Amino acid sequence: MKIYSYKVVFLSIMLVVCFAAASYAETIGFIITADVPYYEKMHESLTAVLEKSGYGKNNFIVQRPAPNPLSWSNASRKLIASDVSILVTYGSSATVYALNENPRMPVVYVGLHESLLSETKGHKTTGTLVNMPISSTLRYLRASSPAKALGVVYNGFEDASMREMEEAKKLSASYGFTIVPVNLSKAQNLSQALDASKADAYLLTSSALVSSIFPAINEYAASKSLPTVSLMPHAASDAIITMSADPADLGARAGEKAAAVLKGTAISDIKPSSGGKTELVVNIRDAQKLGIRLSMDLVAEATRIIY
Amino acid sequence: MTFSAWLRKAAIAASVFAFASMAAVPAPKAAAMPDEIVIGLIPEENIFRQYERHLPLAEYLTLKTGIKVRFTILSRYGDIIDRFAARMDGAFFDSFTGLLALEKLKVEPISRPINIDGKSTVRGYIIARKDGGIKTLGDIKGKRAAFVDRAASTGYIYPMALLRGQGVKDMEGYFSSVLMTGSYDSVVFKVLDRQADVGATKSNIFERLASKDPTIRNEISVIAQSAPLPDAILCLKSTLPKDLRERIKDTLLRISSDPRGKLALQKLEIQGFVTAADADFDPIRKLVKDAGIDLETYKYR
Repeated sequence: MKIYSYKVVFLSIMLVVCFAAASYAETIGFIITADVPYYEKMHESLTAVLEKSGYGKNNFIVQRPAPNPLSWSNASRKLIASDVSILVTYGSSATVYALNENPRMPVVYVGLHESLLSETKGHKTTGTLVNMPISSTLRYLRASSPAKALGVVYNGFEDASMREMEEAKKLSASYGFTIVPVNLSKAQNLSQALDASKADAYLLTSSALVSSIFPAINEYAASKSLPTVSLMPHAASDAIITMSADPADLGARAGEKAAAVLKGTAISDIKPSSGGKTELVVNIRDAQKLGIRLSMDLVAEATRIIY
Repeated sequence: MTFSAWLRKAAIAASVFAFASMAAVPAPKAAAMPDEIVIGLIPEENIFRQYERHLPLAEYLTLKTGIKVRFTILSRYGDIIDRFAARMDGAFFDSFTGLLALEKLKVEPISRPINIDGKSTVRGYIIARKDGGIKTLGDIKGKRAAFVDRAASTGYIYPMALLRGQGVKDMEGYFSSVLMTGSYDSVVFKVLDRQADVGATKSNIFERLASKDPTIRNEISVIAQSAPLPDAILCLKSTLPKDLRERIKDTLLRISSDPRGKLALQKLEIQGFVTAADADFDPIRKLVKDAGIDLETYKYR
């Protein structure tokens, strides 16, 4: 009887060790562009889901590249060389540059612009998609501001940002705006680039580069009493109007997909998802300082108001 | 005196006595004329805008009836039935809340508006973004839906009837998420802003928004619409003095022939008013039946 009990205990211990070893063997590589609080929120939410599924910090390898093509590519190469079990990419640019490196492991993207879904063809991918309606941002800005020249701040090296700028151009006439593109990838000096635009309002696209210098852009706009509309929120600074997909929701849903892949579900069986929670944040506090009277519809539709 | 003669005299005396008794009973008091009447508005659009649009009508009715008329907007649809008895003398009901009011409160339908398109009815619209991949009702399962309120005729009851006709018994469970926006214009904005994939709104609200912002028509398609339904039916408590009810009705029916009345109509963006009657509610009675709703037990709050 005693020998039998020892055997049971020994087998139980071996099972636990094997299980722990199996979990420990899985590594998850993350590419989070540096200085983009929006991606950090996605990451927080995604890793919370992974931790609940038994994957903790011991399983994570994190790369924080600067917002430029070389850094994104290098970060991808490092993680691919580390032979991670899956690659998690935040935002469109990190995703696109990672896929350019032809990773052999599955890739779970968080917040990929819907128009770039075609970039995932031929790769083992799934994730969460975003597509904020530029038309709505123009509509709300039009109803709240007499601005004519709308400076669209974008990064020529980021596809999603470029597409948003092009969409704004396409829609501009319908809303009575003239679009003035401000391409940060070509700008030597931010203030000079913004000065040269002679814009009387700014639309900040969902670019990692734009987000990383968002406080400086917002400060410039405020100094000239110009309203800003942003497609990505920023922790340290608030545009007058921000319309974005909820990063916690994007991260949590992507986390569930990542966990499923790690547990053995074929990535081809996990469809990418769009249409999650969105936020419309209205900054009445700064609008008042700029003498802007925000439209009733905008205030009524806001999911959060900053006073 | 013979017995029959006595009987005849007794009958005459009894009749005289009965008549005298009746004459002594005081006649029922005529309802006292109030100093002010309160008319409720259900929040079918942005409440600030809605109140602003209705203010000139309140002022006009005050001028014409000699009684102060005040409008009050409720915070949500379901409240109109619950608060009507204690706090209001009348209300502009939509077809479903009007039907509830007819059944549960003692109200008399007075009038309803003639919209800019010349019709005195509205239709429910099921809408989706043109670029959202939803072309027909078959595409809406599992999507994010935006409704107005469980007491809203075209903003909830109509889609309920529509989907029940397709075998869907649990409408809210049919979608991945359901948002109750509280107003019809908010449904349109939620779909425009991609906060919802499909929405249930009302034709006059949608057309009003689209006429002010033509880009809305470029982005939104109407994938289904209801039969015509009555809307914004003014119903007054039947306990209000009959003279006052008649005066209000008369004022509204003649409003378009008065320059001051025309200004109020302009603000409301309608052409005038027509008489309302119980039979106007027959289409909503059918819709309620199609939706499988029992008015006695339906939880509209």
